[in-house]
Amino acid sequence: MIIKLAAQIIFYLLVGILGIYSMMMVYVLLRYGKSKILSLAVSALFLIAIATLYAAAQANFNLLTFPELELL
Amino acid sequence: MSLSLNPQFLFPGQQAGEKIHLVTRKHWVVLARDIVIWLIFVVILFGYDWFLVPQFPFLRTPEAAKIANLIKTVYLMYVIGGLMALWVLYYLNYQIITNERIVDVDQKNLLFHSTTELHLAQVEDVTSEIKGFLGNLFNYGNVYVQTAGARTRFEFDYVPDPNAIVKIILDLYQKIPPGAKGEPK
Repeated sequence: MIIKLAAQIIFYLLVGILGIYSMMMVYVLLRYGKSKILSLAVSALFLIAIATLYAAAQANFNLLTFPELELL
Repeated sequence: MSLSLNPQFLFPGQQAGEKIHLVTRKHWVVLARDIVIWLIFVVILFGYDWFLVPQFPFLRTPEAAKIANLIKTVYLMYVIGGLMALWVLYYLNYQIITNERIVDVDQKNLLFHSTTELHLAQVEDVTSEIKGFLGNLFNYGNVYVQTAGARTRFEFDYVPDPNAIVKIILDLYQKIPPGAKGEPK
């Protein structure tokens, strides 16, 4: 249980950091980019790629089995 | 001219009657070089499958494979995020030369955006520099604009055809009325 919790914390922390960084990139690109169409297209492609990889990572995470180890 | 990205380009703060002569950014070879260097991180993924897995039998167990797949997908997310960051920083760094001034738009990192302007009348000396094998092969390099102000040098890094850019700046400088030279407008 405790191992699964630790793994979940690490996994979602890594994904969260990348998610925040990605949102910042998209924001900066859309705000300062001269061509909004190009910025939108690149942002959309990037978000699709990241979302696909996140889905794969989540599926891989769900496949993991953790040993039962209770804190007593 | 091939250096100009878009002749209809407009930028914030552009004044009426101000004509854009050139919009330029780092040469694409510089971006390609950075991407190739970044792709070394992808090679690490293949290196794991090609070299580490055959060497260590415990990595071939189903449990190890599941953990490796998870690490690889998260790792790949970061690699793609890094590639995107490279392109964003490349795209948001550019220089504009108009008939009145030089504008340097800098995006040093995601949270540091700066715009520096220099009136052509303040220009004292313009230098171009092409160095390195790739620089000579693809004709890109640096342009340094020396000014009379506190900031001694205004730099364009790795821009295509630096000699042509120097010529454009000097030609535009020549068109400034003699009374306006050496002092800000």
